[in-house]
Amino acid sequence: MEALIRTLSLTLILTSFVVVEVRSLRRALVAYMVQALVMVAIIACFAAYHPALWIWAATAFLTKFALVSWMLSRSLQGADRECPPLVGPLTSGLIVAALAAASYSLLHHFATFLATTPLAQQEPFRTNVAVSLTLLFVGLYAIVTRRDAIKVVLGVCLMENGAHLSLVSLAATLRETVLIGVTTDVVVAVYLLLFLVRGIEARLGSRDTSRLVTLHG
Amino acid sequence: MASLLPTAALPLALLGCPLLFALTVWAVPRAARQAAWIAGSAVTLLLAVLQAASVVAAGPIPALGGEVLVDGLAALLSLLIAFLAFACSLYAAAYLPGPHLSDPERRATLERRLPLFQSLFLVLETTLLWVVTTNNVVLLWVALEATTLASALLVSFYGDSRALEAGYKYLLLLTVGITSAFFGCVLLYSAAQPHLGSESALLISNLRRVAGAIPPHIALIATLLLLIGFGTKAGLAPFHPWVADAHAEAPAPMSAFLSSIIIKVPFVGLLRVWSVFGPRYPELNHTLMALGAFTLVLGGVLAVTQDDLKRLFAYSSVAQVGFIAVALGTGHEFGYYAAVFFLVSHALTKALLFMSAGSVAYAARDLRSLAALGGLGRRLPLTFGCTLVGLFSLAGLPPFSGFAAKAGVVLAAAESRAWVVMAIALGASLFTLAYGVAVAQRVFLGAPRSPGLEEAREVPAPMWAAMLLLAAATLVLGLGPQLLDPLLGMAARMQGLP
Repeated sequence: MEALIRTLSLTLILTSFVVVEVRSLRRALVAYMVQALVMVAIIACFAAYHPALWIWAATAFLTKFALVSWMLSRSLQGADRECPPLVGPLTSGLIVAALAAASYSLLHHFATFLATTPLAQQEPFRTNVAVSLTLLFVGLYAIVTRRDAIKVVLGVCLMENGAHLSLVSLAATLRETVLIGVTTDVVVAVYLLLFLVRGIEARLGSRDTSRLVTLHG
Repeated sequence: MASLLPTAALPLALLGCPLLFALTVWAVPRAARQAAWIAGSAVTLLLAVLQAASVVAAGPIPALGGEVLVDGLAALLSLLIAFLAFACSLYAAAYLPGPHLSDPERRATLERRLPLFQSLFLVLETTLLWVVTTNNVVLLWVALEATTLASALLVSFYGDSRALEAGYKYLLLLTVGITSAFFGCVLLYSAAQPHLGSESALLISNLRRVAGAIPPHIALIATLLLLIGFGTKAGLAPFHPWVADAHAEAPAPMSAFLSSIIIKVPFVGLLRVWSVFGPRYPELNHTLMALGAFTLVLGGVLAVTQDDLKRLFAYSSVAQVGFIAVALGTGHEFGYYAAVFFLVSHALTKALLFMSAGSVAYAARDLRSLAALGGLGRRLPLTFGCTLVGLFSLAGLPPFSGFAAKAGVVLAAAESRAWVVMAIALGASLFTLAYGVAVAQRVFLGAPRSPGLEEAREVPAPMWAAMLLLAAATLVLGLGPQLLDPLLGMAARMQGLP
């Protein structure tokens, strides 16, 4: 079980790489959906340690795989090609790979620094803590360097997946009501972001966020 | 009404009331929707008054097994939220859908959206009340994110490209920023859970009991993550870039609510966590004080370079939240008292000033450029008078609440022997006075600098009534700052600060 969870966790890093680097938005969405299913599988595996996590797994399936993917799919509406990002494909691929490898190895080495409970310091929790923060950094990288608003929203989804995974690793005993509050916030945030992106696309004829320069910040 | 409701039910009634009226807005005929909004805000205000009276008489009110805890701070801020929401709903009765919408099709579109605005505003009020009354560390994050979600469409209400850009940036930056606070909450829970058990570790009121058992590096990292997340929402520099865009593009009642209370509620999370860890780790206090001083200076400099009245007030809000951070960073009981007093005073003052800016735009064909305005003083005497009250209070002049608020922050810094920060705070107050006088002079005095300003007339009664209400509150609090003491004193004493 431990080896399976570690493999699944590392798959999350691989799928986040694909989400960020693939230029086809539909393929990026498929990669995100695979990641959501892997998240569900990880939480289901953790249910062996905490049976209450079965409800978490069901919630993750409903929100991350079903609802968020459906909303993203609706927003694509035939568009497939991503607006050119700020960083070229080769450079960006190398940066993401280096970022993911560095943050994972560093965080895995120092996981006990953040995980204070004996259980959270053991495998596979330790790997999960490192993966959760790696997803956060990769998501943040996508938000900063992608110009396509849909890719930016996918970056937010990666960050939220990282946050969700940290809950499983560090706070698995949280009540379901709290978890439902957290996931509801995520779903509504993605819905509203996509709603605003559709409005911007309707007025500017583009999802290119570099054109959002009317205001001064 | 108090006898009809058991004390423990008051917090839940207060949370449920705006939600109930948010549904009512959709159920009543179109002509009655604005009245339903105002009625909802008024009933919520009444409940907040009753709740505050109960807390003063009998102490903190726990509800839902301690998940909700109305202490002095929560009761005071609930009262503030309800009062400001009532004033904004009154103002909006005449202001919305917006001034000078010459295109009838656009006006009709916005009028169709009005019920959404009204009901979302009431939902937003509930989320704000939830932030100040929740005692659950993870639900505090959920509630704060909920305030962002409820307000995003209110910011982009006008639906043009500028409003959508502002709404998108607002939602994206705050959602990303507050994710760091989420990690902070999870770390705190994870560190407290072995000592308190999985249920009790969620309760903020229990954190103090085990603060010494939480490893120092976890306490420091978690508190700094909360500072980044909540600081982004509060508009602390350098996390402030969303502030001016959102304030400038939102309708005036929303700008007033945004600047007065939405950017203040993140301080509730900071106030609660800082009072636990601040006294143990002086480096946290130094960080917050330095960040506050930097925010004070940067916000003031950015404000003075603006030509748009609403953007100027927005950057001024950035500067003013720096005062709250400085006071909280002093780490002692008086600093805590001064921080909350400043928060209340600035909320009243800035709501008044954003309403004034909205009134100027309403009367002056949607003009907000300082270079294009002028000579409105004689044409808008009530708006002029209220703006002066707001500007004088903002600058910290007596007899308005800003005087006691700024004096409190300066004295708190002096008590901590933070002389440099004290000098910066005093300098920033003088700077605020300078640009406040410049605003009054350029908008209201001299000759009109644009055609059509000669025909400007005083704004409708609901708008000036809301401004007068806030101006009166600023004056009353300035003349009797001790009025807050029953709740604020209780809140400050309960923190166990030096």
